[in-house]
Amino acid sequence: MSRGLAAAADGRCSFVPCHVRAPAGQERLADHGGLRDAGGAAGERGGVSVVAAALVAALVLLTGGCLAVVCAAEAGRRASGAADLAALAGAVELRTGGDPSAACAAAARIATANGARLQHCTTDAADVKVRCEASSRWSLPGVRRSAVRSARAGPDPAS
Amino acid sequence: MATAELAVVLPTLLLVLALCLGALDLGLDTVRSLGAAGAAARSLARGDAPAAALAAAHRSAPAGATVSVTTSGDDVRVVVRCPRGWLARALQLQVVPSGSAVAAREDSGPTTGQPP
Repeated sequence: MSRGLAAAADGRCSFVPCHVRAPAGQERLADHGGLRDAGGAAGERGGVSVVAAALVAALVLLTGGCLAVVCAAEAGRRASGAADLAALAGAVELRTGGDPSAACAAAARIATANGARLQHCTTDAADVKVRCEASSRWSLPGVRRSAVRSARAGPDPAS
Repeated sequence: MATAELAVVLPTLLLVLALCLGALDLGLDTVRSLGAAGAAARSLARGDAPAAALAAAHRSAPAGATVSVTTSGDDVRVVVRCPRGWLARALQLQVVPSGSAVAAREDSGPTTGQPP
């Protein structure tokens, strides 16, 4: 490239010391080669960077989407597990004590112990129905963290 | 020129890919731990044999996870802890995928529990 510049300077050696300059015939070759090299390198440099940036952006976006799904699944699993166990605890309390409010208090205690919040609790004969809300351990911007699940528990009809 | 640039860009891409996969791995392991802990706690609460509940938890938990059961009063708590992932080890992070569940023990008679 420097030889190309020297050639473009019309033989006046303003950019490189004169002893670097090649004889006239070779200089012309160097001139063409230098220009072609410069153009090719600039084009490829931009290309690689743009493709790499696009790939990184695509990866990050794809992972963000997957992580949002995983967070929702985690919150859902937390809520459904808490609802399951809370309903069971409520059903046991209802059978041993027979008091619906005590059953719901037991359900609320178990839901809280599982990191969820008891939103709703009703008893129907010997069955207890609960609805729990739980949040994911992580948060992503723009993604809802909480999930709501319900469960029902009661005496085994088979026994 | 392009080769030198590729030598910088390619490791960067691989690093980003590794970070993304590590984050997903962490999330999925947490979800599986939660599921295993919940299933074991429910099984224990319904009065199943502890050995059977532990075996079921080990089956559904990620490989290498430890399952611990502690009983306090009427409650039984199951904690599933996974080994630290390769990403956390590489970055020296103390992040461990884990899940826990607490259930009230029911010692007499079977009940059913299912989603409505």
